Amino acid sequence: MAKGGEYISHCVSVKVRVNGIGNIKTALFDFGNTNFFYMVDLAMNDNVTGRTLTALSNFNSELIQAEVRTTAIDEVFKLSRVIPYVKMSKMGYPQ
Amino acid sequence: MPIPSQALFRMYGRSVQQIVSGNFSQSDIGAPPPIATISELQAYYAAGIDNPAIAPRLHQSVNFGGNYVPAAGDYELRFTPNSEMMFDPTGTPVTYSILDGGFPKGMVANQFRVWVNGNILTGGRNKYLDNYKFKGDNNVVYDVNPPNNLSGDFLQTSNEFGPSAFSNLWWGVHQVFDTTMGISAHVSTVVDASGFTPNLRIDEIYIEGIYTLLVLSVTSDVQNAGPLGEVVINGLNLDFFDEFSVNWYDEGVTDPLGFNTIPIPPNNIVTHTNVLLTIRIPEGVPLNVQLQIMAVQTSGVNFTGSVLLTQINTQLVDGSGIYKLVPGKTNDTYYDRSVAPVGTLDLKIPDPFIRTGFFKG
Repeated sequence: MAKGGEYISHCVSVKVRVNGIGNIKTALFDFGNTNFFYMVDLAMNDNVTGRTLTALSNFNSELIQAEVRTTAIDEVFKLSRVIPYVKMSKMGYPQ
Repeated sequence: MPIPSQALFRMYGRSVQQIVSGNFSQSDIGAPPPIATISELQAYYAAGIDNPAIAPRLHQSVNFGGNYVPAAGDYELRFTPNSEMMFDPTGTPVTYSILDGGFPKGMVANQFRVWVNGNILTGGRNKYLDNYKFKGDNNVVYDVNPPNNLSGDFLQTSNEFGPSAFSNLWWGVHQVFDTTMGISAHVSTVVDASGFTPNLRIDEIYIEGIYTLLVLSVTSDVQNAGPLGEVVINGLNLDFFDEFSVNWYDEGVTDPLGFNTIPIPPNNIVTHTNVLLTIRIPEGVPLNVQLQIMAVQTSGVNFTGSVLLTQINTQLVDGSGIYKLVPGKTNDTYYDRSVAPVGTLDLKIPDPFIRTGFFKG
């Protein structure tokens, strides 16, 4: 795998190790917040399986940034780890 | 297979820990605190209770529209001074008596001063408080003449953070004991959509009364029997006076043009004790007129009483309360005066969020 190249990466999912109350909203942004991808809300209340919550995504960018947020009253979360699943997909945009 | 990539956290805005550990919320939630009159405060003071959980009666409440957005307005704290409390710490009025008449309570040049020390507490949101002032030029509130230090408003520019303190001194000459006086506070706020409003607190009110008994007079029934006649005055606290005069009106004349007065020289004072005063009428006083004996205390006696009216916490009707951290509390609470009795309304805090650093495959 090439390192340091300005290639296009593809993010297929984000795992968030999070405890809390309410629905957690995850999103992916590119450099400059021009393109973004909102993933399905993850319900922290219903996470009785004990497994890390995973949000599926389909997002391509050179640089990717993940956001985790709650938006309703009395929603809280404690986030300890974010694991994005990313892979190099293209060396560059088509000329 | 996708290769998991460990991203570094980068916190934006509030940290997660700050969000979940506690938020600013009101501690003074509920109905407005009980109120008390000055007489009740006096009772507390007399009982030695230093810090009763009462607040003085606010004259004016402010109606405001909307749910929880308070309005700027004028607030008045009125109270009726009690002369015995203010000017006679012992609570015993000074009375005199003489013969079959009685000394009326003397002319009193009374003055009082009012100190007010307090704070404007805005829960760190002083930026929403553009100014506040205590007004002494409100004739409705104040019955003072002249308002020496009352000209102009006491104005202090608010600070961005932390409580502001104000300290002001009012001095007025009060001519009537039992006239309502008071304090007027005008709090002007810039209320944003969240309804932040300042909270006014008056910590202490000092009232110091100084009054000087200037002169006492009595109209006796004594008919002057002659140049060597004597007037016997029985009374109380007669040691208080050191100069005496005899007054009379010309026969058939009652206006000031017919008023005559002759000081009584010390040699004409036969007896002067605390309870007995015998005066020999000096020469020049006509016969068979009704005499008026005037007793004067030349140097004056100051009855100075400084009464601390205990600590008074004034909770404005529309105050937003004092903020404190409450562990586990995840919302703000505001007064909701759209319902009766006054309720509370929970509002959410801004959305907490984190963003990771940039990553790539």
